[in-house]
Amino acid sequence: MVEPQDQTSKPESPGEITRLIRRWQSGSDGALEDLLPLVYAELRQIAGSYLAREGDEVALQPTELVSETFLRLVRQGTVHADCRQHFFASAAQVVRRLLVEAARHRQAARRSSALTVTLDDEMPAPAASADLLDIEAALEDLTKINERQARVVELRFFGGLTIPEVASISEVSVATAERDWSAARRWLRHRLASIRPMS
Amino acid sequence: MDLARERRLNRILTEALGLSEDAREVWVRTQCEEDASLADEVMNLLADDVGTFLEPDARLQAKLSEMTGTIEAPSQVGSYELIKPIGEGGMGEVHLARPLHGPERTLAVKLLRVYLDANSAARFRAEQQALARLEHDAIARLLDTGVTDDGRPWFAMEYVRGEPITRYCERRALNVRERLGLFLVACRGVAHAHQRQLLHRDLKPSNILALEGDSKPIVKLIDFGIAKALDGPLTDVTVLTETGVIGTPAYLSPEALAQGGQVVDTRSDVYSLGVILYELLCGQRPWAEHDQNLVDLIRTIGSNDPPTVSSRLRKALPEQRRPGLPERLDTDLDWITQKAIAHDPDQRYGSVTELIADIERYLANEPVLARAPTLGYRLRKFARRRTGVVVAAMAIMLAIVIGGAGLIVGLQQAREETRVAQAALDESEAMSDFVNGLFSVASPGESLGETITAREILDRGAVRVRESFPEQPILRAKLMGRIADIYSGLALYEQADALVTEGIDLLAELPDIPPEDQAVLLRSRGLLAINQRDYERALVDYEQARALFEQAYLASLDANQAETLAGVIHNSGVALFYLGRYDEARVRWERALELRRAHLPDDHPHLSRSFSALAALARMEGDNETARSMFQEALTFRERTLGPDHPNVALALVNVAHENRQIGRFDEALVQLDRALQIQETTLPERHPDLIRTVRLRGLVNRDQRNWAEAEQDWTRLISLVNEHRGAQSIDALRAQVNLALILQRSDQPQRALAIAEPALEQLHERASGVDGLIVSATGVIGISHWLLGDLETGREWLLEARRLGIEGPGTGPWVTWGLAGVYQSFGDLDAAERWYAEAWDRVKTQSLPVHDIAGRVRQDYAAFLDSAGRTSEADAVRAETW
Repeated sequence: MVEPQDQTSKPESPGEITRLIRRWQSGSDGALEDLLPLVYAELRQIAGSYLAREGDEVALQPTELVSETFLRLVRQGTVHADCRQHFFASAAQVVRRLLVEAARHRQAARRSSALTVTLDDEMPAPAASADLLDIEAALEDLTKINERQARVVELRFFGGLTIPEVASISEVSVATAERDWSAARRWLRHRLASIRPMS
Repeated sequence: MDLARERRLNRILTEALGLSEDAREVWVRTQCEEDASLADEVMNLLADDVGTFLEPDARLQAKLSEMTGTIEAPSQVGSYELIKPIGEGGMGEVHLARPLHGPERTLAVKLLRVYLDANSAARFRAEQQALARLEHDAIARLLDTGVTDDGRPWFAMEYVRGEPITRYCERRALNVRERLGLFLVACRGVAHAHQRQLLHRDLKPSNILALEGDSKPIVKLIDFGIAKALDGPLTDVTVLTETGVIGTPAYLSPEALAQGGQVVDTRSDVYSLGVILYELLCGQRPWAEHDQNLVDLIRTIGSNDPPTVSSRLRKALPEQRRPGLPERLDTDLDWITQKAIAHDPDQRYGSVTELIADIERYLANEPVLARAPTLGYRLRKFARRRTGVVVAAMAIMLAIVIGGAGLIVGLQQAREETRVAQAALDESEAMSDFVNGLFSVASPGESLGETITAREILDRGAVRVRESFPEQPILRAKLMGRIADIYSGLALYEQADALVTEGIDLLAELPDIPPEDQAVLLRSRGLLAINQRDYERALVDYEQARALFEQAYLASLDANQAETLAGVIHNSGVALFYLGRYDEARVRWERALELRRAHLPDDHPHLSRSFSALAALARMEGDNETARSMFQEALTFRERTLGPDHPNVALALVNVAHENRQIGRFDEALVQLDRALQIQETTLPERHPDLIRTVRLRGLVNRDQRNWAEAEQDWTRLISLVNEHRGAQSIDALRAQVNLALILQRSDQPQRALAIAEPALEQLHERASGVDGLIVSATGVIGISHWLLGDLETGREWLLEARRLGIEGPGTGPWVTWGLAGVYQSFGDLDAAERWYAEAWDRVKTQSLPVHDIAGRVRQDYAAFLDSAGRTSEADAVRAETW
């Protein structure tokens, strides 16, 4: 379960996120653009402690990060519980960016430290960070091939939404969402299998 | 990466996944045509079991779902086991539940879909204390509330197996009277909660359930206080909820819809009830064509009146007709519904109790309050059409006062500054008199449509004046006084007081205090104090103002100065009079009269103020004849100088009528009161405070004269007047309620008497002191009513309680004693009955006149009692006795 929340780290504008989510829900242009930075700030704060807690070997389960953020916002009254789906959807994008940045950062740090300390003992990067960056690269390719499927992966993998929720957000039928998810996973897995040796 | 190839592969793969496994290979090969490697690759992908690759953690998924309440609910909350979900709304879900411990029974648990942090949870628990005290037949009992471990509030309540009241009525094709009957039950439940300061905030048919009872239908309100638990964003939840389950804003009042921090009060519940009544009466909601869309609704509601119920019925298409409902409807019901759903809360019934009373009046074929389109009502309509004028007047005045200030400050020469400012001030005084005149038509709290705008301008003026004229404190103080006077004219005493006091303090800091300016401000504050019935403070201000005026005017007085001085002295006397210092008051009033006689023409209307004041003194000293003749003189004088239809003539008429009542000239009193009312109704707004005295006195005379129907009308009207001006919780309001209950009891309407007396008594009990007499009266009325309704045990209990309290209440006479005699007689305890009759008879003879109602009742019943005991000579003696 989630620890009691730190009340000192309230966002500056409680209720703002809910308001933006509602605007977004009602189809207002630009609401998502306004929303993301707010969610990002919140997620980053949590992610900071999250990543630090787990050390370098960050367990790759992005949905936990989102849900923790979400619950914290709900408890603060910043976001309304019935906004969950939309919150997660918008958070998914942010989480993806956040985790990728962290992984890149870690990998860079590891390389430089490895260079200065143990030149002859370079170990392959830990799977977690590598996996994440590989997934990111493959996902970018998938975006070029089928943008909608890439979005499904983002929502599912980074946002933790259920298939029906994905369908509702993407405004497609559940069957379509199901098919997209299945196709994307198959393709990504093979893609990863084929690019791994290169890294 | 060969993008074209990958896209083709992706399309074939995705489409193949939509086919059954058997059909996939043939289809893939056909699609790939010549490219076998592509087909192989797709088949390879299809064959792959990707397992849980990239799948979010299922455990986490479940946990989240539970937390956000979409799928799983806890199996228990508090000490209740949840059996099965029976409904879902935008705010949460409802479960059938049973207690884990204790006797088996079924109840409903409502689990909200919000999460409270520790602070909010604590506040939630505190708020639920109030809810737990709600006990009423028409309100589903709240058994327990709490907050789950993860912060979701829940409510355990009586399980009501009913259906929405609208559907109930429709399915049984109930007629209008039957529908009104059910609706009244619901209203009483709401009224009960309002008396405990609890709003429902989300009244709608699905929260008013009806079901068949043993002898008659049962109506139960559910979800009381739940909207409150959501703490504010009710309309968000209700209107914008994604599920759309409760997504209709149709029953929300305009002020609740506005969400702009507007106050939602009991009248918002009145509105919701009004919409439900409307729907019950014609099968459609007032804004049926617009109420599915929030924006549309808000736009429509603000700029139109809804069609009346009867026009809905008249124009109903065949498929809109509802069984049980007529094609034509009494227009009184139109009035009632339109009043209940008025856009402006001030135009609605002031309380649910008033709505109930009007429906009861309709059911009893009595004229309804909602009707009565008096001249005052028409005047207000007129004033509303002239909103532009009022606002413009305010704007002009403030442009002169405030805008002028900006102009003046910009000028360089101090002397010029003063001269222009003075001119502006004179002009602004004329202007504000004009505005005051316009606003005196609108009594406080009424015609909000125009006063709100004007208020804003006024408030702005009040703020700005504090920053203006830094170099000219005297001018600033004067302006503060002027704006305070306008506030005062709008009965915004607090604002007026703050401003005028600031002005007085400002002057007090000056080295040379100009006495007249200071006196003018003190006079304003003195009048404010009198209006707020703070006579001590009024006296201090007036006495000081008097000294300053005398100092300013020295020996020589012109007529204006004399009247200024006389006015202050007179009002000082008024304060003294109300403080009970009659001798000192007399000295003031005689001095004021002397000044007026010396300096004013002898038909100056202000002379009559002195007459009336001195007459009031004679009244206080018990000299009713003298008082009456002096009031009569004042009246004649006013009629001559002011014309027969001036509001001040009406005030004089009331004074004379009061004296006439004191000496038993009831018929004359009634004629005078009717005339006074006629004048007031044509010259004052509908609910002007001056009406209070007139209506109360008329109610008293009608009660004395046993004109029950008229008395009932007067007291009902009085209650609404007093509620408005003194507040529904004021002693005056409670006294009026008890009086109405007495009248209902005496006119043999015990049921209605109970409905008024019981809530009034509860309110009285909550007061610390000063209401003992009223408590006895109310207790007695309740006892007698129960007795008259045939519930002897309850009746006796209440009457003994009234008796135990020791004294008969004001205006009750020995009713309690008489009631006890009757109760014991009904019980067959003739000894006790005789003792009570004998005592009642004794008390009648010492406390009442033979013509009084109670005297007749006791005489008749006592004699009959003696007759039935075979003691005819004693009975005859009672019948013949006089005193």
